[in-house]
Amino acid sequence: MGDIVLAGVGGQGLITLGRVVGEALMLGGYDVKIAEVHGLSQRGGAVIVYVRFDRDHVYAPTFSQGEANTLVALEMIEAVRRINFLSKDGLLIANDLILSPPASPITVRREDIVEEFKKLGIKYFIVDATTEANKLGFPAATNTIMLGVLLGLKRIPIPLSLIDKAIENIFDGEKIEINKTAVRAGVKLSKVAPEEFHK
Amino acid sequence: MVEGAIAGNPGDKKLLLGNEAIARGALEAGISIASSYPGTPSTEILESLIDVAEQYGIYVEWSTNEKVALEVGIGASMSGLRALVTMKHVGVNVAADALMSLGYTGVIGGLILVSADDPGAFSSQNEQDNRIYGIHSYIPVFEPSEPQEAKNMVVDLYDLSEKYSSAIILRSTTRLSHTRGVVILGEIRRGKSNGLFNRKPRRWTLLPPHNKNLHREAVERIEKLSEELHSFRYNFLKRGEDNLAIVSGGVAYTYVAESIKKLGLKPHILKLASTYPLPRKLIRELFDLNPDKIVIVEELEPIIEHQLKVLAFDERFDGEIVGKEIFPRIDELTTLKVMEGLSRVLKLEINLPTPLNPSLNIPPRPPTFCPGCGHRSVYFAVKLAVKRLRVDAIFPNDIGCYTLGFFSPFVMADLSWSMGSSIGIGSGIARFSKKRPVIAFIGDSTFFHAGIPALLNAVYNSYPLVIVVMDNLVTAMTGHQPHPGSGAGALGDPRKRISIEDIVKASGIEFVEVIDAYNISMIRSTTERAIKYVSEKSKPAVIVARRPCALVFARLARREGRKLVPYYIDLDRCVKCGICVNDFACPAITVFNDTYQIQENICIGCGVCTQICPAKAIKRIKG
Ligand SMILES: Cc1ncc(C[n+]2csc(CCOP(=O)(O)OP(=O)(O)O)c2C)c(N)n1
Repeated sequence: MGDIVLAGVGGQGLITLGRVVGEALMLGGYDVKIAEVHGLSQRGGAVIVYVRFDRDHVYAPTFSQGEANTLVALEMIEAVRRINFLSKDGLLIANDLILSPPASPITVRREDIVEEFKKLGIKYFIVDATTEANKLGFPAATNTIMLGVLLGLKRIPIPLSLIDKAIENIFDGEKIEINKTAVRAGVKLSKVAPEEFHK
Repeated sequence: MVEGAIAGNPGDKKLLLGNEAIARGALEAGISIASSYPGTPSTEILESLIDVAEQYGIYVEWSTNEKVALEVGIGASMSGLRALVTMKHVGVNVAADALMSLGYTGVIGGLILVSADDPGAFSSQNEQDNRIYGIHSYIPVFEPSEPQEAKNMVVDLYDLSEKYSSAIILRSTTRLSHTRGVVILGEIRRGKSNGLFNRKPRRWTLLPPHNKNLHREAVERIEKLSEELHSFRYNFLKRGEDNLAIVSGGVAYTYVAESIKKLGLKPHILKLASTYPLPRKLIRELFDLNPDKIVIVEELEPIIEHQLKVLAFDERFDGEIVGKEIFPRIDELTTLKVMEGLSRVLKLEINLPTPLNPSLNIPPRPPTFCPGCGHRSVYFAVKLAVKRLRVDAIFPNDIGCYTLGFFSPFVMADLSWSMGSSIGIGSGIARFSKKRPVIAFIGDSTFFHAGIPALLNAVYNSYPLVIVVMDNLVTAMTGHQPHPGSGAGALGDPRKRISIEDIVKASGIEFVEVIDAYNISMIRSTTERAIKYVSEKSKPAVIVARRPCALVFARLARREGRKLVPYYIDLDRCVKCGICVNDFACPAITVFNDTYQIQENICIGCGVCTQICPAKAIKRIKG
């Protein structure tokens, strides 16, 4: 049984990330439920996706606060916003990126966020997927790089080959190769244990 | 090439959204037509049918509003064809007049109306429970709890609809519509493409005395269904070991299933797919098990509960029945809420995890206008006009992306009600607002949907109202569906646009100006003129602020390989006044450590910010 929360900002490709993870899990023989919250605007709002999988039947589309084994955040403020979903012994995987809401009254610094993770005493893994995506020349592939990290850290029990198959089922044309490359880059990032991998 | 989400062969396993599963069910049932007006969380049903429409010869339509969508479906059903009509819950309010008659007449070709309700009001103005419409109109209501069940049930419901000559309301909710689950596909049946109109004036012409006869038939139909629905395979009673029974349906059932597993309970379970009417025989069987307590778990209103309590009275069941005194009417349910409720009823001690509770103060992230959105510049300009005239304007707003003008820094939505209400309610305010001008904002899709009757009313009754049509040429908020002003049909086929300004002029309005939504000074000056005109002449004025939706524009440019050349801020000229960030609030412009910057990767190069920068510090990157 696994409960994963995906969090981020509208336009970052969270729904697609959820689809790929779900497709791969289904191909791996799991039952899957993925609840997407399509927000009010086409872009810019806070987005959350619930991913649930099990060898048995999965009934409910969502889970509750404190229940997720893993939180994948494509943005750091959203990591803080959704941390209440993570169980105390769960793992946070956060993309090293801060997108301040426009005209926001509060500014948050990276140090403060990292300090908060430490204070909460959770395991966390911060990885700069956006820079990696830009390096690869595929700025839109931050989400699939994070998928690679999720896979590399063994938070989803499926082989890379099934992720590839899921990518082929969901994407079209050149995006297939781009995303396969991105997933591999993510797996690699998960191996270079950054200094901020805390237990 | 990736095929449509709902394509595939019998036996294939696919991860489908609840909405896609509903669409696939309709495809397998052999529908001939699907009509809809977009609205979250219903939209993907028609969208996924559009992908396969040509292949299977299904007629698909984004109708002008929900009433028309339902009426088109009714016409097809009268002609013996199977029809699917989909809408969000509040859309059924718009369609309700036609719906009430449909409850009397019944159908010939199977007709399913999908009402996608929104417990939790994630993307709606309310949490109305449309099962009540079933009761009100004598139309049976069915609620699937998971995508696979939804797909299968839709196929069977078309047979049921024709067997009982009754339309069906399939009630989905956000958590079904927007949840993906594994779905095993079935055989696709091709629908008929030729209709044969059945002339039945006594049935279709609701005049006295036919209407009373039809009323009687409707009552009898529901009675008959209630006696026979126990054999509908998605209703079932599972005997347990405890002296407790739980009755549930829809997505709430999935929370019940999880909760009893977690709490280690073994109650009798009555799982209902037909929540109106209730399958009477199954209810009697439940009463015969003599549970001490029956707990009813359903989202929103006590629809199952009220019906069940009446049956309990009639059948002299004397156990305890609890429902809404335990489970809230407000908001969606969750497994946690169901566990808490059950533990209260059963006086169980449960240990729930205490969630992590960060102390860091983080900013909210309200939805925003996209970079390049024409709505932003219109609000900015109208605000300038109002400031220059020193008037305290009232801003009735409407429903669409432009409603985000509610948020800071614009704060220009004094009300947002139901589609089209900006003009109607705005009129009522304007009649008595004395010196305060009333400026109503309405989107293009909203204008066609429900704005026109209110516009005619405003003209004919001489309301001093400024109406700004925020025209981005699509129904943007729900994902860019075409409307009569878009110039394309559901399949993307080109159509002749119906012009908003022509309609406005034809209504007799004399002040009609069409302006580029990016042109801040023009909108500002025109708004000033319109405010003066309205107060002098005591007549409405209309400004159509037009600019294609920026997302559509950017997507098209990318597809055609056109480069979007971004802008940058010349820091030597920037005076750090903050107007671009604080008053204009384009997400592409950010400030960090007092340095203003344009994020090149999100700037789409609209250049509107160059008009609002007093220092002329914003420039186009030379590409
Ligand atoms: C009766 C009803 N039907 C559908 C909706 C869903 N809905 C909300 S916003 C919107 C889009 C309105 O489009 P438009 O007026 O063109 O504004 P835009 O989003 O393009 O700015 C729709 C269809 C609704 N709220 N009420």
